[in-house]
Amino acid sequence: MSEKMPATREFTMPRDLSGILKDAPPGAWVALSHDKTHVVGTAKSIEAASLQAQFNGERDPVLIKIPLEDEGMAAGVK
Amino acid sequence: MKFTYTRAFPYTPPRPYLDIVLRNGFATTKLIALVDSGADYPIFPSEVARSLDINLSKAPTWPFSGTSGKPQEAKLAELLLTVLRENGSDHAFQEATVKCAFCDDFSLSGVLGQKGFFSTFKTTFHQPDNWFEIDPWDSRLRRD
Repeated sequence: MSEKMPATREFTMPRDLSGILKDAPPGAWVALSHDKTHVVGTAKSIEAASLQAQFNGERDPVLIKIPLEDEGMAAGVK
Repeated sequence: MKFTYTRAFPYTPPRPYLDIVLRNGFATTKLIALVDSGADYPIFPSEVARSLDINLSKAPTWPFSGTSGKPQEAKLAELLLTVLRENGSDHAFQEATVKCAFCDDFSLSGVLGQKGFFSTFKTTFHQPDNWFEIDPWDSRLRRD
């Protein structure tokens, strides 16, 4: 019986957005700068968050919606 | 192509998120979406469709049980989806035409599910090491 070589493992530290999103209200859309280092807009609607980003000089924001506290994906939310 | 897990919120563990661009004609939206093998389709809030000028009034309805734990309804529409590299700007692959579901009361910015995402990209999770790999099933979607 041949011995199997151990699978190569390549541990990577996860990217962390939790610091910049920690104060975002549940249910809100948050616009992040293109490099995702800071918040450039927060609003109830995607359009308003995008507009805020433009007003703040970010032409290429990336948007994320903050989950509601009482909903999850079979996952903890607190 | 390799992608790193992201801890998006203080109360959640690192998860496989991707930066994506959705496009309908000249209208585009850049979102952070969760790769979710438990979803049947890519699912987004309906306001994403409105921001892309997609008219859902005559779109087929898809009933599903989703994040709210209650029966929900979504409308299905085709659009173009691009996965971005981790720098958040360069396209990782060519655009793919995918059928997406749009739901009025969807509480996440987007999930990437079986029909449309997993049917387009072979996806391998290396969860203990915080990364995942995606590669188009169709080599014509590769950019290199």
